[in-house]
Amino acid sequence: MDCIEARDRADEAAYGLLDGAEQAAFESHLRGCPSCIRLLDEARERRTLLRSVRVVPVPAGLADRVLRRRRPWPRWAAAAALVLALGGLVWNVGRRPGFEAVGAGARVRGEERIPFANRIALAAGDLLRTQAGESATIRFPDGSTAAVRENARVSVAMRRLGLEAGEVECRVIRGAERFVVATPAGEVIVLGTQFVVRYGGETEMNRARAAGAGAVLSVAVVTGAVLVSNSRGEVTLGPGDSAVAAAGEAPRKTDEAGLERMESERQALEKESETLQARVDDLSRAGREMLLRLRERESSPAPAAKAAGKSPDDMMRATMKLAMKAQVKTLVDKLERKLQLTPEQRKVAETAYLAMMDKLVAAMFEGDEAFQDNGHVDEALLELGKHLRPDQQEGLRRMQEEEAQAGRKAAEESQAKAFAAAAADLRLTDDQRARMAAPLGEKLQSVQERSAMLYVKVMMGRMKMEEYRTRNQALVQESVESLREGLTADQVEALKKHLEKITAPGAMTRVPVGQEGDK
Amino acid sequence: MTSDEGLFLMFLRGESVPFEELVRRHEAPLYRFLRRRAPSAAQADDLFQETWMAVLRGKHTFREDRLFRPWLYAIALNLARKAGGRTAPDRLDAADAPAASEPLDRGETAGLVRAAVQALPEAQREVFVMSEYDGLPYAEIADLLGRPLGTVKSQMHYAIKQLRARLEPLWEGR
Repeated sequence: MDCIEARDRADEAAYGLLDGAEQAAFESHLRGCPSCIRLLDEARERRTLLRSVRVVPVPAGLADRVLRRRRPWPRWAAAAALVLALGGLVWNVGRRPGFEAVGAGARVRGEERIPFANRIALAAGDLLRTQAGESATIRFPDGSTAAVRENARVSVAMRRLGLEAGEVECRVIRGAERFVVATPAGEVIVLGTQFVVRYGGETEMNRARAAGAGAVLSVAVVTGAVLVSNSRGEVTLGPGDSAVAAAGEAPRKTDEAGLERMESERQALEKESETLQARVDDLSRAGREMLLRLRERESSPAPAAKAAGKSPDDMMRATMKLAMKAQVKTLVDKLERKLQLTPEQRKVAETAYLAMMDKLVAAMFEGDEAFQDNGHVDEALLELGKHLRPDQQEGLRRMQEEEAQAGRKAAEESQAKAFAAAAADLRLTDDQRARMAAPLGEKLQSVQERSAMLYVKVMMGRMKMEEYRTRNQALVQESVESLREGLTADQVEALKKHLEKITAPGAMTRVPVGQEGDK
Repeated sequence: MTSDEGLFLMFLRGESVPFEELVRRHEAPLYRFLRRRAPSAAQADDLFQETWMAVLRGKHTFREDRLFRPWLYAIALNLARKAGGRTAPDRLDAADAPAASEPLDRGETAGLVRAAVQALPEAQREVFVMSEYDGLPYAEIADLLGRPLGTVKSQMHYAIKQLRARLEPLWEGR
């Protein structure tokens, strides 16, 4: 570059318009040329001068006017929404399943008998029959299944099977209500997940015992635990155990094998659905724990759980309402305490929140996200606000600020923790730690949140597992791409694994359950 | 200090204070950005309010791998356009506070600069004002205006060359 060119390029250089090579050539000419050495500085001065002609006066109170229109969306309500979505798992897993039989057999309803060769819808009270060579799988609304073998007679209800003859193999989703297989010789009450029940005169063992013993119930457990009981007694079975019971005889454990066939079938199925089943189990546990916790706070007993005729949807709504009521009580208690509410004011608050919560449950159920976001909690607070004295209003404002502060602190702490875990997995150098603390910390949190939000959709039956897997993978990939600068290849790999780990559904159970304890 | 994106994520999690901080942080630059493109100060005020309302309504469309400010400004620019404003501002206001240390007659300098900028063709003026007065990096400008980065840079180049020529009297004696 010569002086003429340099003179020409000076303004571009000052405005950052030169590409790497040109900038380098320009700077190196300047260094070596005494008459050009001030070119860049002068150009920058000109730029500064031009920029100084601006300052548009900003009217006062602009930001305040924006902020007065907006009310905060309490953190607890967002957490509560997540809790409820998780709690709903207990009754409803994955897609919104119907109640049906898949396979070949005949359905008897009252006087009407309808054979089927593919699938047929079921309702509580139906009877299912299979002949030689036929078999069908019953899919219960809650996701449990019962594979019915040939020559069987089975009556069905929501979480109940009446086995009149034949053999069923059940996989039961854990739920608040027990799953029962009833036979004339005894009941099998499910505590766990997978077991086989045989009742009737078809098996080897039954034939051996034919003399005088009548029909025999035999139960073999593959995974989980099962209670076998009749009027004479009961026995609990674990994996690999089996038992027999006959009318008039207490159930007792046996050494009967016959598990081999089941075992190999089970293994085949297990491979296919292994991860899904494990995740379902994890989440069932989490869902049930949360519901139990909520129930402990309520003094009145759980309403809908016992009612036989209610649909799973109704039961889910009832659970949600129950949980919401508990949350409202906690919040109103706190408001009462902190603001010294009078009984009338408390009533106002309760009524307003409950009414708003009803709408929220309905919106959550319908998947109306827009409704959920538009700060409808504001209305309840607004209503209460009208009934507060000025000093109470001040107290409320202060309470909200404190909460926001505490929330921010908690968020920072959890971000620091998450970062520490990732930094360890990736073996970041001190330099990398310093550089990546902010971007990595934020990214970890946002990835986890996004993944959790996707999974809530799966749990509410609004997304298929396949799609969830794809989108989760894409999310992980995007995040790795945006963070990979400055990392070694090993670290990039470790990052990918770390992100996969923290977005695995099992990890979701650590979502905070609203406000724990009192402040 | 927490980044804009960090604040916004906290806000998405349900906290209100981060949102407040964001509004205050961007109060002046955003207002100025809008004022230059709005037919009147009153409208600029309204647009300012509307921009933040739009942010609230659309908060869940914000992907966490995006940057906050370009998103905010894109919303603002869109609203300004809809209100009949222009993206190429035709108003630069005189300096209130002394920014340069030069003992020049500020009024005269300002007038010259304003005239020179206003004389630029619209596309080049858009780019120049966004860079120098709204303080946006070229990549953001390209995004906002929907132009390739190369085009933005060459329009900027044209603008500074023009201004350099027109403002020759200012540069005499330095």
